[in-house]
Amino acid sequence: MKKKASTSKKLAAVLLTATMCMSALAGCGGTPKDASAGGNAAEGTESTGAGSAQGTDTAEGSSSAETQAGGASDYSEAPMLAELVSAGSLPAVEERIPSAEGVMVENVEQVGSYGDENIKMVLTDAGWGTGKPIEQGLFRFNSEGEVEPNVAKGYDVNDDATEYTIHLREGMKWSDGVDFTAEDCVFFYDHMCVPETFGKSLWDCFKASDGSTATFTKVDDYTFTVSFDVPKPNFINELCINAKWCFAPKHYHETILPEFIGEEAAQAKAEEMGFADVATMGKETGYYYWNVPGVPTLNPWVLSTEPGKSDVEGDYFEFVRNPYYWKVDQNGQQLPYVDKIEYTKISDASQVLIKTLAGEVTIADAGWNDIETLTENADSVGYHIVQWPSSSWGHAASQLELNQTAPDEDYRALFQTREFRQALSIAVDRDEFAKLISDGWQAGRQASPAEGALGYSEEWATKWTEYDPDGAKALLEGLGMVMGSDGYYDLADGKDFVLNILSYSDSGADDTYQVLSNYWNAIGIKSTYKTMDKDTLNNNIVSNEYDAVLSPVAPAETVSLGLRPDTLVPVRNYAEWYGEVGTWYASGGTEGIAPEGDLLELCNLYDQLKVAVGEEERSEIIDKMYQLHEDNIWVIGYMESAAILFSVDNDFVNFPETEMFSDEYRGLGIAHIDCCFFKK
Amino acid sequence: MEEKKIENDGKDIVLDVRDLRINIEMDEGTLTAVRGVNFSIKKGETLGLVGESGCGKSLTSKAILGINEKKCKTTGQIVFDTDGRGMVDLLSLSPKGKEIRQVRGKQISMVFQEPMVAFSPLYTIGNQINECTRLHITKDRKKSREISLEMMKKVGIANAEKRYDQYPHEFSGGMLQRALIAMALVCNPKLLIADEPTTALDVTIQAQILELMKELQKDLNMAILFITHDLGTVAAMCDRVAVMYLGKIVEIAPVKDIYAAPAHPYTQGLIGSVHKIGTKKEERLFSIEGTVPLALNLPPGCGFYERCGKRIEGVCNVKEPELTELSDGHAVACHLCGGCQGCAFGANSGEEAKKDAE
Amino acid sequence: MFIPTILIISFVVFFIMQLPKGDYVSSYIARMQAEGEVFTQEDIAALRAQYGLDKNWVMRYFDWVFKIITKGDFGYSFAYGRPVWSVIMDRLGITIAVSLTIMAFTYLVSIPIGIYSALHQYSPGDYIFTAIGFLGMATPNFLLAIILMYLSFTWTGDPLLGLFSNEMLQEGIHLYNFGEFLQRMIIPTIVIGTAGTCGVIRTVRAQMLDELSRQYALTARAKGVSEATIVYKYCLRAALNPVASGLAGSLSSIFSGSTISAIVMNLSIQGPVLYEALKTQDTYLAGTILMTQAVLVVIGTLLSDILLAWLDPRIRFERKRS
Repeated sequence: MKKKASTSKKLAAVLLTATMCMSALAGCGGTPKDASAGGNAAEGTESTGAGSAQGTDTAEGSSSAETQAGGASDYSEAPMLAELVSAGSLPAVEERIPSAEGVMVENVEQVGSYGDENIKMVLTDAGWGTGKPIEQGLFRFNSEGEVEPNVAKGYDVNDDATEYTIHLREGMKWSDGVDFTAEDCVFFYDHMCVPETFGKSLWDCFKASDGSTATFTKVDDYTFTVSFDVPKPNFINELCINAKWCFAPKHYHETILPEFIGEEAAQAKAEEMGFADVATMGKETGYYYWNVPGVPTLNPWVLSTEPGKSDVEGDYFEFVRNPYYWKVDQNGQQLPYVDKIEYTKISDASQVLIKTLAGEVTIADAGWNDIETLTENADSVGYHIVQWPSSSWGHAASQLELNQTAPDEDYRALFQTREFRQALSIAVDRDEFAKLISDGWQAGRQASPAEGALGYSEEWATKWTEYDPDGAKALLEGLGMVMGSDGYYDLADGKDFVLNILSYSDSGADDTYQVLSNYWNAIGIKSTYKTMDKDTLNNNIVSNEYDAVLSPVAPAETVSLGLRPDTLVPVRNYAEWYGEVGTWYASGGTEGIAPEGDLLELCNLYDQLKVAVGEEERSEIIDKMYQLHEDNIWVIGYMESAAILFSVDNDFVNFPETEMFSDEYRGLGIAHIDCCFFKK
Repeated sequence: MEEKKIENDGKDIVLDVRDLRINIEMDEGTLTAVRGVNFSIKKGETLGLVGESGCGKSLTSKAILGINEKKCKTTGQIVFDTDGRGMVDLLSLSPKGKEIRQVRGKQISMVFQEPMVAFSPLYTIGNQINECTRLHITKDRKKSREISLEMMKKVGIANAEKRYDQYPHEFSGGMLQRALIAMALVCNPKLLIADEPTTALDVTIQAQILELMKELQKDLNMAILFITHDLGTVAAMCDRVAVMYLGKIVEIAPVKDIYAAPAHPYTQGLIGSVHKIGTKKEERLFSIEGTVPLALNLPPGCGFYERCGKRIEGVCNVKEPELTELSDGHAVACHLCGGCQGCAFGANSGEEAKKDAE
Repeated sequence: MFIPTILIISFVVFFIMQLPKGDYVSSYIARMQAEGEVFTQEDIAALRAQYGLDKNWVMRYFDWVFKIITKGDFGYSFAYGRPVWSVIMDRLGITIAVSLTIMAFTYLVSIPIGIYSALHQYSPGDYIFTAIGFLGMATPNFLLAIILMYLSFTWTGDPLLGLFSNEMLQEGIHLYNFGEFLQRMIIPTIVIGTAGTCGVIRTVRAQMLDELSRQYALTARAKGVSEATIVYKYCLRAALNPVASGLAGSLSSIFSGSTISAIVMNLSIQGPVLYEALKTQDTYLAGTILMTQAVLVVIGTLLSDILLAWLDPRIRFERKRS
């Protein structure tokens, strides 16, 4: 067992080190996050070259100005499309995708070829599962966490970060052949986001620090501006995280939105499409649009409209090649290489294993529970397992979050005291704990940024991880706690102290609590444990009726505090450890519980971050925020998180061996499966 | 004493039962239900088979048709004068085979005690009677239906056409018994086995049914094996009577002789226990003391030993008596009859018996 | 009595469904958040309003019933975003096909075995069938399903998961791949069918033994009727009485198909739909399915009554009399 663990860990370590080195190179000096006024890093999946000049990005491969292979006439397309072209039902490839100036070139690792084999995947529910891998936003994150152009060619920003000019690609079309222009972006904002036609309140990324909202203005067909009343320096990053894409097919939505056709007609349309009402239609076509047949997209594959293959609630459906997809590889071959993604429904997540073993999937989730079975059969069936490190700060079921706004005053004071958290942390023998919980596959660790993510430090990962029960007791007594007659510590005033821990069913905390409680008992901390339905737990959290949560509903995880602070900065009532402070912050100080000390400092820093201009200032602030977390260890963790596993068909080329798995990178999205192909 | 064969003409014997033994294997041992039964029936004759419950009469009668349960092990011979194949030992035929099925219902029929349960409630009476007709006489629907209807009318079922299509639960007891008789006789069998056919019916109906049977017997020249425990019916119906006790025939005689001069103490007891007209009111009803023992692990000697008022110790409980002929057609199995002296016949035995002994 | 029964059932169903804490929106949000989506308080409130879940459940119930009676509108499924009946209809055909196949298998297998057991009571065959029957009943369906899928995978490399292979899903069902469909029906039929066979076998066996010892069987034998005729014409028809009664519940289970086995074997029938609807508190979908099942039980009882009357004339007679 241990042998296996160390081999895979070594592998992971090597790969992660490699990634780190690359990010170090890319970042040139410690600030991998790039939102510098004007520039963008190079695009393409493997490039390490530095960015180009102000904003505009021409079609390029490496950083030099060499024209890469591919003038307009050098495009080639998939055989199935070529057939349609010669039959006259599809325009020639040069007319379907942008010219050399506008087209986006992906520098793929291995140049691929078109073929017959299709990507096969399984899922229990459509939803984001079908969307994230193929999503195309205006901008996207690269593996280093930097923003790079995608649908948009590039952007400019003025000096005080109140106006952003976004450049689109000339010649780009929707999947039904209609031109994609700036009007589609402006339309999306004005007629969908603002009036909230798809059931989401206007995203934070469109709001400035003073509460005012953005203004979208079309400049010309391929340029538009987003302007704010006050500086919004982090807009592009926030756009990437919050809104993700920022456009919608105007020509389509004008036929279904009540604003354009009237309520009655819209209701009729909704029923015609099989939706219950206008609101549902708005949500499905406007937000989860990729799962509705007939909605034009910019994605590499589009949901089939063939009957029997177009219902994402059905047992089987397909996403077929978008003939107007606007990306080519460095040899001018129009992407994607593969014609279709075939999705099969399974009724239970455990059936993924069966499908994998039967060789019926190209990419599939794999679980650590099944790792032995999977590795045994890998060669005979023909797949390999890839490990992607997670952006989580530690194994979720081993994260203990003490409510810094616990209802009882004394408990609250205790939880807010660093030494108490330290005591709970060093009371546990992490080596033994990790061995018991993960069979030795993972190692013990403090809750801290993952290797390869911003903010990682070895010190932090090992802070308060030494096993020192006596030291723990000393700390407790130093706080004035008194050993009671029952063998457990009471509060200084003699009040009984019980650490009441909650969790939700099937969170995995049943096992971790069992082990942890042994250690806590040994240092005289009495604890109780109760599980409940996730919704019920959420209710408790919302109403601040809890003391501590093991395996939080919102565990600490992020690629960067600056990008996605939700679980680590009290932006609203979301994560268990900061509880009502989040409410305080979101309500502007009118509700909730006001923070003090370092927690207050954390909130202040976040305020500053929102208006910080300039990369240096931002990274300084972010560093300070990380430092606060490291000082305080608000979230106590006991074990590192397991890597996310995928099984990948051996013949499927260009699938990255390792990337960070996070929501910011859209999960499988960063694998860029439109650049993958099947070798013959 | 040597076993003497029952005298008969040798002619016109329809059924000849020879040394019929039926054993039933049980956990406790072997139940010797029928321990060597011999009798014969002549054409057109009615033989009554009388005995208490449990003496083996039903088993005997069912053995003739081979419809006892599997666990009954039968030995001996049951010779029947079949149509077309001469004298056949019915016991040699497989109980599930084709040959015996050609005898059942066609050459030998059986009428049962409770007509209410003898028919299947799921099919009409007509259907069930007709089944017999179609099985043995003709497969033609129309013809067989006519024949069945004919029979139904013959047995006195009023409104036969309507009744043909009715279900058993729509019939009264007497009517059902008539239907049962119709079903048994529709194929003109040579022998009718009537197993207590009137026991379940009330007295008036009883008389009618018996009348009917006699009529039909005359009509069809049919032999009847009439099984009953009711001595009154015996007198009305039978030509000869065989008395069975504990699996053996203890006395067999023409009906008059049985009543006039019962030789076996058991028979005497039976006759004596019939309530006669003229008995004084204050006299207690006579009954034979004791009950029929279980035919399991029987001790040697006479089966009636325990209950006999005339038993001779040292004789009766040592050797089993054989069926001995007393006079023409009258045989008895008892140590005390046929050349014995000093019999201390009890007070309730008939005067004639005393005379015999002297 | 029919309508009030249905109404009461629907009311009880509705009541029970809203008992657990939270509603469809809360479970929906929990799931979406797990995938990274972010919901603000306004988003959540808007969703609730959209689904009408901000209203009191009693009001929602009467609203729903009213719509059913006046417009035949059973509401829509939150999860599918479509009218409830379109969701049910999706799987109705296949569910009925699967259920009828399994029912046919159950009866075609158990009745002959029951007869055999009765005719050869205490023979080795009798004991073997009884043992298999009890084993089948005692083993949980899903365990049997997993074992069979494992065996299939080890021997043939194909676990036969689901009713349709990928090719079948792409090309649809035609004559040439109907055979494959039947092949994939083997495991579900065995798994779900065997559970039911034991009961029927024992019932038929007991009834047959009873009937075989009846007087009318003896009479028939005395008539010269063959053993086969006695068994099939007379005894079997009487023995089927309890089996016919049992059909009452079958109609409703044909509609829904078994649930846990369906999930384990990835059968696309109605059972898992109901299960998901109950889990996520998709009120109208679950309510409609349950109500339909209740209606089918009532209809099934009626049908089995008719069947009984046909089987047994005595019942007809009693009806006539009363």
